[in-house]
Amino acid sequence: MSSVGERIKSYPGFGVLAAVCLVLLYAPLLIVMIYSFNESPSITRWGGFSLTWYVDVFTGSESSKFKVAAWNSISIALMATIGATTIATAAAIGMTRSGYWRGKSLSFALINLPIMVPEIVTAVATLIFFSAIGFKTGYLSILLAHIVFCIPFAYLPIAARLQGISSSYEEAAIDLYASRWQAFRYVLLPILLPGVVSGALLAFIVSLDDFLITNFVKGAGVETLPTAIFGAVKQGIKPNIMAISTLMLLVSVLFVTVSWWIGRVGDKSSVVASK
Amino acid sequence: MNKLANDNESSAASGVAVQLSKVRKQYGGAIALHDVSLTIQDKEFFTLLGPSGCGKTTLLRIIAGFENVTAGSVYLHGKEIANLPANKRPVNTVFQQYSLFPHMSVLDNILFGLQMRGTPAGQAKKRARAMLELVQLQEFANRLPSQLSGGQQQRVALARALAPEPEVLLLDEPLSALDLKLRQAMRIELKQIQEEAGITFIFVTHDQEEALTMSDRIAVMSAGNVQQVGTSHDIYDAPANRFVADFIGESNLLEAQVLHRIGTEVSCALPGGVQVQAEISADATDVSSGTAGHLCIRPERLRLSMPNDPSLNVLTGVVVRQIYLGTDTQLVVKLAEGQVVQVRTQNAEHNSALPTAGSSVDLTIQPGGVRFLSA
Repeated sequence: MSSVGERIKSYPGFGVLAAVCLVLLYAPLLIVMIYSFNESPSITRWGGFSLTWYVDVFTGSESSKFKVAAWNSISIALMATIGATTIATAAAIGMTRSGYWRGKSLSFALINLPIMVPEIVTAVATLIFFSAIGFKTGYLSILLAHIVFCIPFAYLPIAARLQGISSSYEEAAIDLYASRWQAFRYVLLPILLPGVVSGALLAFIVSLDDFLITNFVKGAGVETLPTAIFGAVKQGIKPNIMAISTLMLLVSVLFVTVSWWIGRVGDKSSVVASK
Repeated sequence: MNKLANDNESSAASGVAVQLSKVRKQYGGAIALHDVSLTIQDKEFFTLLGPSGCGKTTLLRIIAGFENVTAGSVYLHGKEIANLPANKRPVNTVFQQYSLFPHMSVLDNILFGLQMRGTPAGQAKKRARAMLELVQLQEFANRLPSQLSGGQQQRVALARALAPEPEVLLLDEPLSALDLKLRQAMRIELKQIQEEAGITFIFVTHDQEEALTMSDRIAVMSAGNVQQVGTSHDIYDAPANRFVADFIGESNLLEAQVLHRIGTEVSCALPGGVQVQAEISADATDVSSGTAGHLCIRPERLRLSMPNDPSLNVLTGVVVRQIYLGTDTQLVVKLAEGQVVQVRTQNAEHNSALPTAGSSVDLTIQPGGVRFLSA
């Protein structure tokens, strides 16, 4: 392991290539974060350090619009997470605990396809679907769309963890007089929990920052944070957008870190040790 | 008089813990069990022994309720249970990897079955404590399974399975994950616990030594069939066929033909013409003069003898190799007829007197040490 790592490091140009990649990936984010603390209303000229724009986000003229949008984003993300995680857990158990059956790999592909399908296609298709069945676009249509496209993101970490859990735990529970539900509730779910939490956090983040699909199915008058930011940017970029972006970035980083940490603690937990 | 006999019969039937009647298991076209019938007595330590893939674990899982039978019946204390789900069967299992619930303490693991059964809390706690005492792990009640050694986890698995007082305990190769010393100690302990608990154990293993040391009776299985059922002695000393003779312990199998048969005694001729007296099972009714088969001789039943010993059942040959094994020495001897046999002698004394490679030896088969197998 370490020898391969050492070798890659000694390749000519490794350092330069790595630096270029890092700059391309993170320089824009860094600039946004730095300029969110800019005193001046210009987005290109530095006028000294200040928290003005953070104050503006919460109290300024656009703050009420952003507050509604933020609340929509968070409430939709929470409900979409619960819905998608429940469905993904059921799907993962169905897929990994059912042995072989015809069409199993096809089902696996169907569950995960939404990750591969270009988002714009999903967005257009979802909008057409809603209008075809006469579903009024608005808060509810956003929620339904989010539940659906979050499923594969929740599914992957749950299924990955489930594959590492021997089915003999559930057999042992059933052997000890537990019903199928009790075996799930008292034995499988607690062991699976790190995977479920990981999947849920991922689904939450994906829902929270979705723009494309939301923008297609939201209808008039309903905004989430990403669509509200987009609307504001169209009228010219002000540093308060940078402050909101930095705040959202912070929330995302926090969630992803927690998800990763839980996954790691879960891996180190006794399931592996008792093998 | 007749009625009394019937009563005796029915009370004998209640002494049966598990009865399998023509149990067949098929996975698609592959047959895992061919119409297996077995009767396991109450309070018996019964072992299913065989190489991997012989169907022993499938049979255990059928009794536990994890697998359905394709055909046939399973009776538990006289009641048909083939269609009863696993969580309704008064049968518990000790799994090969123990499968202790990793998020529960040792005590909670043991309590699980009692709680699922609805045992009142106080009574369940008392029972669980008693089980911990039985396996001598009282001070580990609040540990997690990952904080225990392999041997301790094994005991917890045993305590957990015994706690709900099952009618039959099933053990699926429970010792295979332990190292040799611990495995040997656990054999004796398992047998003791079985006697103390006073319940039927059905034990699955591929380790013949394990089977011989613990079991009241053993069923030797191969390729989905039961080859022989009997005590350790029966199986070792009177194997029913070549598979059993070969699988259990070491044996020398020599081709031979029956010259004549008197009851359970046969005279056989080896290909070179040497005559050997052998024993044969009384139910091998198809064996008569002319039947071809094999002689089975255990290596320790061959004794080095003085050349020209006039007694019967003497084979002559040349030592090819001498192998020192600590307690024993094994001699590889090539017989005059060309077959190679193994001879085992204990290193009790004067092993310097053992013949070295190249020397001629006469081998006497000890009385009762050779059996004729037609299959």
